[in-house]
Amino acid sequence: MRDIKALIIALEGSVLLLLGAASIVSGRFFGAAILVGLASLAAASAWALWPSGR
Amino acid sequence: MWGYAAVGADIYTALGIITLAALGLAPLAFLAAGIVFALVGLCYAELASAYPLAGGGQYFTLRGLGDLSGLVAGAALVLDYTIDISLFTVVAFGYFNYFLPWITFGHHISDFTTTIGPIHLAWLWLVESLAGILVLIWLNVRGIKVSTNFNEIIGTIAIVAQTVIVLAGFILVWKPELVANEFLFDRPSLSQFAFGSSLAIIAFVGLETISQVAQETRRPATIIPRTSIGLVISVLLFAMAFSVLAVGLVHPTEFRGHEGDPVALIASKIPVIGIVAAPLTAAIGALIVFISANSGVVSSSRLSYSMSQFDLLPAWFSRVSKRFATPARAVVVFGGVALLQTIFAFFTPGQPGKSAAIDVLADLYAFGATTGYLLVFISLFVLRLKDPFTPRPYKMPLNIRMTYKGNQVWFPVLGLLGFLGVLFFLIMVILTHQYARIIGPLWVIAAVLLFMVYRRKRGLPMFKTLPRDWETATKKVLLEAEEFKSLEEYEAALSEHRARTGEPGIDLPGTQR
Repeated sequence: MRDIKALIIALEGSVLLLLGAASIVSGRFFGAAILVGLASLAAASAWALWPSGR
Repeated sequence: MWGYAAVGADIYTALGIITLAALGLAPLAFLAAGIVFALVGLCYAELASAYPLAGGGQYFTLRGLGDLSGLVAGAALVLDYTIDISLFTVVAFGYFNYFLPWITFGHHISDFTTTIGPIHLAWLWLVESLAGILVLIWLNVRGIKVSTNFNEIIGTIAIVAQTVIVLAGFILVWKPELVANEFLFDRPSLSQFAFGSSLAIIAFVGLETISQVAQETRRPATIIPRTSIGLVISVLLFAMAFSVLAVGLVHPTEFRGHEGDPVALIASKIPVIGIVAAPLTAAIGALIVFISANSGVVSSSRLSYSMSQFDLLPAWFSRVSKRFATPARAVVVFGGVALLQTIFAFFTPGQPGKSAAIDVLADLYAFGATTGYLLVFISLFVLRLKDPFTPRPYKMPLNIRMTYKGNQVWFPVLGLLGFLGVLFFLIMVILTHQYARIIGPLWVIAAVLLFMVYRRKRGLPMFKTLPRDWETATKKVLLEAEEFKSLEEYEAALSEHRARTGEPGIDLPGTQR
């Protein structure tokens, strides 16, 4: 069950990263900084929750 | 197995009150509390994997600093668990009341209030909350077995729902320029910010709950650190995401009147899916927050059981009911305290036209958490210096190597930062929380008085730490947890020390000579 949580958070992270990239392209750098920050937080939590030995 | 429910529920409770207090800088308030919380999380990961015993912060403090400090930490944390019960039950019914207009043909909770002088009493909400707490007491006295699968499924549904709201919100309606605008022009005063960020501790409770179940975990050395760190980061992620989303979606003052169902407010602002997402969020919020309230009942009885095992509380508390095989007395006592707190909170005068219940309970909460965590950090230092023999499967990062009484020890630099952070928050709580600064210390003093009376009656020394055989205790814990490698390392470290210095090695409060 824990791998599902890690997966959901990883997916969330990738979408946040995409949104961040879109914001950079459209020149909204303040928003982009926040979104990329949240995406990296998501990546870290997905990594920490990811089941070991896989 | 570890319910995200226990930790993830907190943002459902905290979002509204904190955004109202810290206004445009709410994300920063969450971040400030979140950084300190992350350090507390690392500290708990180290201590709970090294000493996997029910009792959590109270046990670490007892072991590092002795009986009286252990009692103070335990009392502070028990206070928090009782507030957990009342605060989370009140908020669970806040989310439930989202559906009230559907049941009562268009009446809102504000229609079921009466004004008595300065008191704005939401009587229906009070009655619901009291009934909710009574149900929790009844369930726990009878002894319920909530299956771990049930918790897992609810936790996963909550994560999915939160993720959907966060992403849909960011994609469809979030305005970064509104965030920037709020940051620049809607700043709270310094004391409002201090109040808001010290409230934000609520968004990050639940760590204690994890250490409470450490004893029931097999192979705690590998499982506890990973789970704690994973939880810390993912809770931080959701708290940050929700607060940034909230500030870029609605004006902070819109949360007024929605302290009971803040996440449902956010969900309702999302176009298209909002019409379904808002009631769904309210339903999930009500359920998950109520489960969290239940974990308050469970943890307060576990903690008081642990305290009476160490002669900090009368054995009366740890007596198990013969009929139901549950710690019925502790459940009834602390459930009763929660009932009183709820009544007190609802009868406190607040701002005109609004019930002060959630504000009062949240205000009280921060004292117990900061006091408990502060003592746990001090114990971390003491245990690192005086008990370098117990194997630590996980150590807080960033340490300075030094020699203490002939032993090589590691001084935790991050631990020191965490200690300073928690101390800062404790000072903020005492400066800005008008209820906590009076009721918190009174509660601790009451616990110390009870402790003195009990010790006097039993003929035990009042302020001296009772003799305890920590070496055998550690070996027993490691054996029961099936941590055989750690057990070998522990025995080897102790015998090496004894051969080298000729001293017994363990120099903790209460060690028998």
